[in-house]
Amino acid sequence: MTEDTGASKGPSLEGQTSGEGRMRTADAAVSAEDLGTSPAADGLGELKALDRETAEVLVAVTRAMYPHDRVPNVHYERVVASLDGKAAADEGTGRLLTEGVASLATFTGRWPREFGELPEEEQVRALKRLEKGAFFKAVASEVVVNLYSQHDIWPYFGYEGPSNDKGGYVNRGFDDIDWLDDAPDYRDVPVEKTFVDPVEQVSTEERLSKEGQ
Amino acid sequence: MPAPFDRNDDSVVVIVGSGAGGGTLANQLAQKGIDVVCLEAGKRHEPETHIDDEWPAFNMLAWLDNRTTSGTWRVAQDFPNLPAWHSKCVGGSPVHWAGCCPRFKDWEFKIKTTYGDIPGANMLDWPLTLEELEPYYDKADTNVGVAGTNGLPLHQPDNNAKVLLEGARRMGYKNYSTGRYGHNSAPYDGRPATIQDGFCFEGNRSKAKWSPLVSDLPKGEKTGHLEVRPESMALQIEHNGSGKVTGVLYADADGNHHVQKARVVCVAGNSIESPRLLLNSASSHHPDGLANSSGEVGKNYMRHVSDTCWGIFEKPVNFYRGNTMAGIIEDESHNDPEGRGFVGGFYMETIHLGPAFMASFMNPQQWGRDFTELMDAYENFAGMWLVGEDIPATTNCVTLNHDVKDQHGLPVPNVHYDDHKNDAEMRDYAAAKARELYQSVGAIKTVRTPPFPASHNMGTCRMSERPEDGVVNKWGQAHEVDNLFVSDGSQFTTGAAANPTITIVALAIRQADYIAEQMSHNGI
Repeated sequence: MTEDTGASKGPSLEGQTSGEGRMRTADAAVSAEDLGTSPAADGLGELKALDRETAEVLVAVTRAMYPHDRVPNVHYERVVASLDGKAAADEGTGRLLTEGVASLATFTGRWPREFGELPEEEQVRALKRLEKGAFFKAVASEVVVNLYSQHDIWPYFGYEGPSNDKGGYVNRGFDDIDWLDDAPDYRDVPVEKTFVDPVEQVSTEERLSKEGQ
Repeated sequence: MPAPFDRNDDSVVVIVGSGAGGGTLANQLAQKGIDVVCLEAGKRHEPETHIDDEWPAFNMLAWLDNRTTSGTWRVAQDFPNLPAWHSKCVGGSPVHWAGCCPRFKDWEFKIKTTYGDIPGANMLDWPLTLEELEPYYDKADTNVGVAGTNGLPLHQPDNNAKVLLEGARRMGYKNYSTGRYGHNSAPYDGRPATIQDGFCFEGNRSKAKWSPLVSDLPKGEKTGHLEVRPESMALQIEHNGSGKVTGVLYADADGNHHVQKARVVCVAGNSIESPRLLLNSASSHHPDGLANSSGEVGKNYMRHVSDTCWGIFEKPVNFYRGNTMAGIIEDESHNDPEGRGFVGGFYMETIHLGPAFMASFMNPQQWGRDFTELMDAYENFAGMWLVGEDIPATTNCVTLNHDVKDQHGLPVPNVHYDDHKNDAEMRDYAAAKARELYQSVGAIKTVRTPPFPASHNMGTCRMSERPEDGVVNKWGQAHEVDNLFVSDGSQFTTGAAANPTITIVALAIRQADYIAEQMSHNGI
């Protein structure tokens, strides 16, 4: 449930987190080296169950579901490598993934291997038609749990992670916010964007009228 | 005979569960020289093994045995087999807790009187007053080491708290601070001051955060009167023909069954497992479950009205640096049905999640750029959790699901919940206030997160004055079985708005006095 506060006129989310993007990309590369991987590496590795084409289409599918432009493919490939592991452990999962990828032909009218080259809006349109199904859910939940748990992806989000071995954050900026005194008051900025919660189907307008604003 | 105790030793008090209720009670009794066997379903994970990484820590500490859900609540849809987020480990849910320690208000002990009857609600006053509990709240604060009490200073606000507190100031709120908080603000009780490491839900490697794992249980063990037996899943409470319980059947790590004999049994398995154990202990004497003549076992399950608001700002907040909950606004915790349109109050408390949990909980059904643009703004997030009193209802309940069996062959608990209209209205009101607060300090976007699986689980074996209205009396003693006690949040008659742990600890300390007194003159 998101609500824009009209600030889209002035500040927008776009770009606000990419100011330090270059630095963070470098951080990610460094921490990836610690893990013995690099953003350029092939995160798929030796596939155990899926064929390579299916796996590569899945990489494109995971990125289309959760697109982070600054995040290199290796992170999505690791998600698919994990799915491959599950497919190896469970035949039903393997079938679900293989048939799901094959079904993209129906929903896009193109060969599945071409999915990654489709314009994003076409990818999204196809995925929307699939989102209630088991294939989508299996892939989506794997991305949500696996992608954002990869330690070397955290720098892209400005997250520094565990701190115990560094003595916590108590001497490393736990209270260093310095802009609050000058923070603008956006309470009177009208809400412009209508956002409909995909599950509860309640629009911002309905919520606001209920709140008497 | 010092611990460990023989399984045939029928002089011991057996406590099922080692968390805020069971762990506190175990130590209190041991300090009085009473022999205690504490059966804990989970493993013992010492603090140095805790993992500062959300999913691995969750998999280590959380109660993951299968459960089912029903009802119209959102959790049943997003997390159908995870109705609650509590612990399965020695030390129980305080290993996972964040540490907020507000007390109940006097009128929250008597909401039937204060609110009147409400359709759809099973209203009841506690058989207990704030005045009676206050001395034990003081002892609980001392036991836990609550900031702002016992000479401990309040915590310094972290970045997330600073946003909350500045917003509170701009909103015209009066009562806001880093609050009473069960995490050392200075060295206390042999444990160090917080290092603001950013992890609380994942355990606490430094021991600065109170839990029975780092405090009560080792203290109790030192007396020789307490044996903590991990990986011991209680399956059934046994009783004799004269209406007394005699022991607890449990399964060890290898699935082998044993009976630990007992003089007294105290159930503290959290508000889903406690009623489940009583229901699974049905016999010809107790056909509807042990201590369940009233039919109230499992009923009135409460989980607090819960909502989360994330504010997204133009500049970084770095809200993950610091303790998970480190600020509280108390101005909305009053009862004002005329002014706000609902009964009961709520608190506004800071919260942060790492990217892994944020992705899973922020909006569990969402994907695409609507979702990822929010994740991309992670470092500019501030977060607050809204926690308020939910309406007790007979229809919100824990029952046995005989169609699904667990690893021990026992029916799993089903948790049914429907939000009462009052709950939904409080939630919407609180969410609007939260959004407004963050806008007042420059939020360009706010995100409303639907309720998580609850860490606050209450009711299900409620206290009552009259035996027909509840399961236990004002001491947590079963109305119909003298030597059976309920020692966790299950005994809450109603849930109030306050985070429950400090009240559970206070009740456990009070209950220990009562049990010791009763044992001393052979009352039990």
